[in-house]
Amino acid sequence: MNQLFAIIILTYRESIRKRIFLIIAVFTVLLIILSAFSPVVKPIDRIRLTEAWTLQGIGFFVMLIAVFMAATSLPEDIELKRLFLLLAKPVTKEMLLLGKLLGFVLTTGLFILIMGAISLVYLYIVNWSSGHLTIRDKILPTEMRFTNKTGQDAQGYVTGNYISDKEFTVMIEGEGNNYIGWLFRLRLAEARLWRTQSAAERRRASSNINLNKSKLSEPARPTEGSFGQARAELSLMIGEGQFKVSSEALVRFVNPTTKQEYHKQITLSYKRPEAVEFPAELIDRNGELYVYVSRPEPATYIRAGPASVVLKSLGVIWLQVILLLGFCISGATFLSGGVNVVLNIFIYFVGSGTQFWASSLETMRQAMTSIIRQETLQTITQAPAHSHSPEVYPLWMMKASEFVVDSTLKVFPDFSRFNSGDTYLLNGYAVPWNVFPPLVGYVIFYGIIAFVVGAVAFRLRDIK
Amino acid sequence: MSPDKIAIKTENLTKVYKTTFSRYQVKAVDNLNLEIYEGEIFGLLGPNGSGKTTTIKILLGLLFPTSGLVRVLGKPPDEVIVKDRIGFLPEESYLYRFLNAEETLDFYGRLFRIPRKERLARIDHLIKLVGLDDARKRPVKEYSKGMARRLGFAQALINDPALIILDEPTSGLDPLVARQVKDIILDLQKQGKTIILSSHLLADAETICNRVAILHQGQLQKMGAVKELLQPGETLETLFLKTIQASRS
Ligand SMILES: Nc1ncnc2c1ncn2[C@@H]1O[C@H](COP(=O)(O)OP(=O)(O)OP(=O)(O)O)[C@@H](O)[C@H]1O
Ligand SMILES: [Mg+2]
Repeated sequence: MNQLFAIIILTYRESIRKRIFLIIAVFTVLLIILSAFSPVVKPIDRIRLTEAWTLQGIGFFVMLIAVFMAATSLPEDIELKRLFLLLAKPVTKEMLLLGKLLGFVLTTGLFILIMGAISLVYLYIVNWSSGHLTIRDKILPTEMRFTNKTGQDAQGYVTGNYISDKEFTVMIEGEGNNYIGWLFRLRLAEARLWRTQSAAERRRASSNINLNKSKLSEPARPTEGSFGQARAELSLMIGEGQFKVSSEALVRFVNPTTKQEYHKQITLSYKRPEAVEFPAELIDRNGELYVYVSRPEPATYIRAGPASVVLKSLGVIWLQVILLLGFCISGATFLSGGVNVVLNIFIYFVGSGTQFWASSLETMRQAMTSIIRQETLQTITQAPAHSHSPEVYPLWMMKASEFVVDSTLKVFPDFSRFNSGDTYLLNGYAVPWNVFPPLVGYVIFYGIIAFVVGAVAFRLRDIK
Repeated sequence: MSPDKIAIKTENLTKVYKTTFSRYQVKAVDNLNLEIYEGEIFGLLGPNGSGKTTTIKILLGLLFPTSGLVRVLGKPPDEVIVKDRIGFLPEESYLYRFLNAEETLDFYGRLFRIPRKERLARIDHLIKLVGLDDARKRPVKEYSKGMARRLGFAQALINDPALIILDEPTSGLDPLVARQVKDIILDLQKQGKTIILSSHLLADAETICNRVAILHQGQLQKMGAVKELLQPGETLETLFLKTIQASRS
């Protein structure tokens, strides 16, 4: 234990002394602070933005630290011949590898923790000054469907956050025949219905939405009097997720001018849209309508301030770093520092793009099936060979490249699994605890493989 | 110091360095048969590139021999238990530049699992022994070559080893400290420890070594007690030159 501890501490001390560590730390802090100056519509957006930047920034920079330090540490020890003296002591090579690995796990963990703490302090300052609560839902409506009286659909994309125990803000972006934008704000949720008549207006309205959310509050002017007969339908659907719960929600529509009210109890359930119809006269002459969506039973939402959510996401990032550290340490036993850095950056990028690889594989397979079918057809019909298009290569070549992509997909660790942190966070979800067990298992599985490979390579190696 | 207690034994030890991308090979150690007895000071002599350091690395289990047999304190050298009883000073200072003297010794002390109280006492004793008392809190990167060497010497003794392997222990030391180091080596022998040293300072070797081996191009040229090897009136230096010249022709 004493031995392992000594190596861990030495690795830690060595790495925090490197200049790259300090430089990267400064960059990360700058990035977090930079989010203070970026324009946002609502204070809650700034919190989201800071959370997102924190995660992106820390995630990216800690990855750099991990690769550049862990991948070069052992080769540097060999180069400077310090290993020579170290392994003359009663230390096994496995112990050295393990100590280094844990040392870097500690270093990166501290980096993540310190940077996370800085951003949280900053977040709480922002949060406190805006007086915002950051309660978010385990589940959120991600889709709202609007139907006008002609039955045409306007599809919307919804993001939102809980702003109190009972109410959440929802923002809908989307387009359709009638563009309808809803902007729910705070407790006094405000919804506007915009009807755009011409195609040009429609385009303008949607580009307003897509390009600059801050223009949402000043959309294309509603055409007066055109809402008299409108019947809007609001569909709410619980977002995809692992939560198979259904919950009661109360939707309340209020005409902002006449204060006329209408409410309806709906059941939000997993993947099933719920339509709410409401009388058109609730929309006032300006095209405005207030909608409140509330959940009477508190079991379906959780309080998740930045602290727990950001820390959990950082935990996911750390797991990813640990996985990469395993590969760095393992590669260092038989590669030079430079090659090892390049290899691990490669592993990381290929591993992060697994979805891309999977979809290219799909495309390749489809293409191949159609080519094979064509060729079979040709042999049957005895069609002349010149009907081959120039893009068709020999089948074995295509099979070979399919094999390469396929095995890449199978062999490389899937780093995109670790995106859950920002996937949840950016959409306003709370990060659930149950993301951890499969990821921990994944890290342990690949970690053990990497470690065994490294240990065997190291054991067979002469320390020259 | 008796032939019946053997600390180190090599049989037909051969080490060939191969480079991955070239067919160029170096036979650094060639069919070496050594016997080093417990309690003696054994000198490993030879010109540059004759395989002294390579032999030492094999004895420490850092290099795998290409062929042949090695026994250190009765065990194969890559067994970790053996290393508990070995102290080693490499030919250059391979210390961590950001640690100071105390931290360096503490680190190596921990690797030997020496309990804290004993470790601290030994660190203090060794720092004083090698005369680094004034510099004990300064990082190694500020040290002169000789100071780093002295710290290297101190770390070789941190585990109170039974077998001490010193690769050119007096290189880079001023005459005063070199004298002290030689005295310490003789003192260690009195405590019953086995010492192997490689050196280019033949006059020193002649005075402190009980037995020597002269290597050339990895091959053993001469081995035996200094007194027996030398003719009357001959110094180790003249014997060395004669041996190497004979081997060259
Ligand atoms: N890492 C290595 N790779 C290839 N050849 C090596 C390596 N280390 C040593 N050699 C070769 O092995 C031979 C013996 O080297 P070694 O370092 O053992 O000599 P030495 O007796 O310690 O010399 P010196 O007195 O200069 O310290 C030399 O020819 C050297 O070039
Ligand atoms: Mg040497």
